[in-house]
Amino acid sequence: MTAGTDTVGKESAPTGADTATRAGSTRGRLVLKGIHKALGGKEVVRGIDLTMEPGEFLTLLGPSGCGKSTTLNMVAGHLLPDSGVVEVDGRDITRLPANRRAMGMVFQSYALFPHMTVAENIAFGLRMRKVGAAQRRRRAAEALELVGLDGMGERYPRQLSGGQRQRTALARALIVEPDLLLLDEPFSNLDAQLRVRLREEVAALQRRVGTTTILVTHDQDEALAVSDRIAVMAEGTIHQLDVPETVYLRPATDFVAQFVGEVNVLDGIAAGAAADGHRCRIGDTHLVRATPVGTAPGDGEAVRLYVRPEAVRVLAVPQAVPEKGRSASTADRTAAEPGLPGTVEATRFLGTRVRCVVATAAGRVEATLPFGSEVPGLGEEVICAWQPQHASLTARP
Amino acid sequence: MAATARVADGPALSPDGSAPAPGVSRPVKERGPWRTGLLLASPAIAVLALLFIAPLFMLVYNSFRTQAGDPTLHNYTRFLGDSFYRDVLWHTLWIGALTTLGCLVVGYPFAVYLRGRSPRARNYLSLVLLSPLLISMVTRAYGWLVLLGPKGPIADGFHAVGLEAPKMLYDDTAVVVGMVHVMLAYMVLPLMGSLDRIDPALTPAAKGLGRAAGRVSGGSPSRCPCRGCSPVR
Ligand SMILES: Nc1ncnc2c1ncn2[C@@H]1O[C@H](COP(=O)(O)OP(=O)(O)O)[C@@H](O)[C@H]1O
Ligand SMILES: [Mg+2]
Repeated sequence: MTAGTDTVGKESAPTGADTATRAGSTRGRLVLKGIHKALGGKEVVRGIDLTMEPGEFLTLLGPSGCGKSTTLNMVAGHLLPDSGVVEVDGRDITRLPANRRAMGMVFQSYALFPHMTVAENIAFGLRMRKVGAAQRRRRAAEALELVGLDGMGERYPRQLSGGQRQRTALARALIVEPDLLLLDEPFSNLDAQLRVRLREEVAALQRRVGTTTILVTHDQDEALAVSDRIAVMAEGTIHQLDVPETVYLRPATDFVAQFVGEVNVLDGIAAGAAADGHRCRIGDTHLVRATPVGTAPGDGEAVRLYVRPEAVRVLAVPQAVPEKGRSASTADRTAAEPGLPGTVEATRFLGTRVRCVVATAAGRVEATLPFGSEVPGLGEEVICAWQPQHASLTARP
Repeated sequence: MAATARVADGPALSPDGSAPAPGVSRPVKERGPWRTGLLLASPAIAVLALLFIAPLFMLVYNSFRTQAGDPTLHNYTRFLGDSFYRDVLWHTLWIGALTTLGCLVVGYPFAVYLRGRSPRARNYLSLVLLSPLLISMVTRAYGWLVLLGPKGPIADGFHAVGLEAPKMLYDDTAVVVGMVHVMLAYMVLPLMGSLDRIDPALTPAAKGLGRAAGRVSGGSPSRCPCRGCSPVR
């Protein structure tokens, strides 16, 4: 458990394959193949395929009831898939009961045993593995220290705060050195501030111990903040599985675009590949660029663009406003980048940002201007521009 | 962050638009929740005190008096001195113990079963559970007479396989069976209440940590009232 060996920066190139180096993890390679599961006569998981590298932190993100917990429970061995295969490190464990798997799970309610002390709770997995009492005590003390609960071992769960219970559950899951750490909405019972702090702690701890981890959540901020990769789920299927940057900036489907934050949806016609990104015609005359998700659409195909408000820059029309108040570099970029012209319809001050609504040929485009940037006046003619890698291009559904 | 709503500064207006009259918003005297509860329960308490508790006290009081009203212990010496009364007392306690045990054996699995069912199924099954209490004692007793009698369906079953039907009526077994039938609800309902307070995630949590299903181990001594019903022993 050496600190600082993490080489995965959240800003690193969105390749998704660089996580195998984490803390030297070699264990916990999870493969799900074609998992289906019906509950109460309804198919709640409908064909899940995914592969996790050892040490990876993957988040299942989706609205309540989309089958996240069901999927997690099939990994843990609490549910048997109707069809499909669960593999860990090349071994098929689909039919292996939960008590013979090595999974550390943290439940939404934490599920601490109320009649056992914190130390007994944490050592429970070792007791089940017939580890001797002296060693149990030593390792429980280590685990308590790992999660910052030194000296709390003799307390009962009811004497702990929500955050302390959550850490106890984490220590109890990690002490058995599991193949995978499974977290089912572990932060949802905490207040907002603690939630943010603990998720950072959990992410840091995960990087330190290097256990392959699946987090289940419906909170997109949480998913974006802690994950190596995010699987966005809806109605039992994975809509997109990629690094947070890509899921956020280049959503693959309407659902992903709408669920993970606010988005501008623009419909257009594909107009061929450019040097960077893909050209797309909006209306009759305007050309914009975006990055195709999956296979690039053929020329003339109907396409849909997703652009986050944060990715949209509102630029002055070069000729209309020659020098006055605009920097030269802004004008340069305007010239270099095609964009969507429009008229400023509204601006709203939101404290840290300014929201700017521009009426264009493709409908309203919302832009979020960073703090301190110049705010265009109402009715001003502007150009909405973005970098091709900040907009996704998909076939129109 | 979203813009914060501005809170109005001026005095709140009453619905008709006028300012509140001075002294209207006198602070309400703090009253403990138990006092409110006592107030709400007082009619029921009054009825019980008059019709149940008072007669019981009168009974106890009279048991220490002669017919003429002089204090005495004679009633008790006579009761405990007579072996007939003593046998009746022991028999009563014995039947009671057997009934409790029978209710526990039948009721606990039923309560555990109910825990995992849908609210709808629970409602129907609870109705079944409470149905003996809705039937008059005489009807219920005759029902058992038919069932357990020498010409009843159980005896017929024995005869069908060529066996002599055992005598099933007019003994302790029959009494206990009839008592368990009625008293089962009083066992299952509190058990359900306790079981419902146990986090259902405890079972998968224990299993995920290596606890094999159905295995019972020694472990440390009991510390929690719900330990007996806990999946983690
Ligand atoms: N035991 C069950 N019986 C019937 N339906 C269930 C059961 N458990 C879950 N479901 C249903 O399956 C769907 C997916 O549940 P779940 O995986 O818990 O969703 P999530 O964790 O994404 O919120 C939900 O619609 C839920 O109502
Ligand atoms: Mg869930």
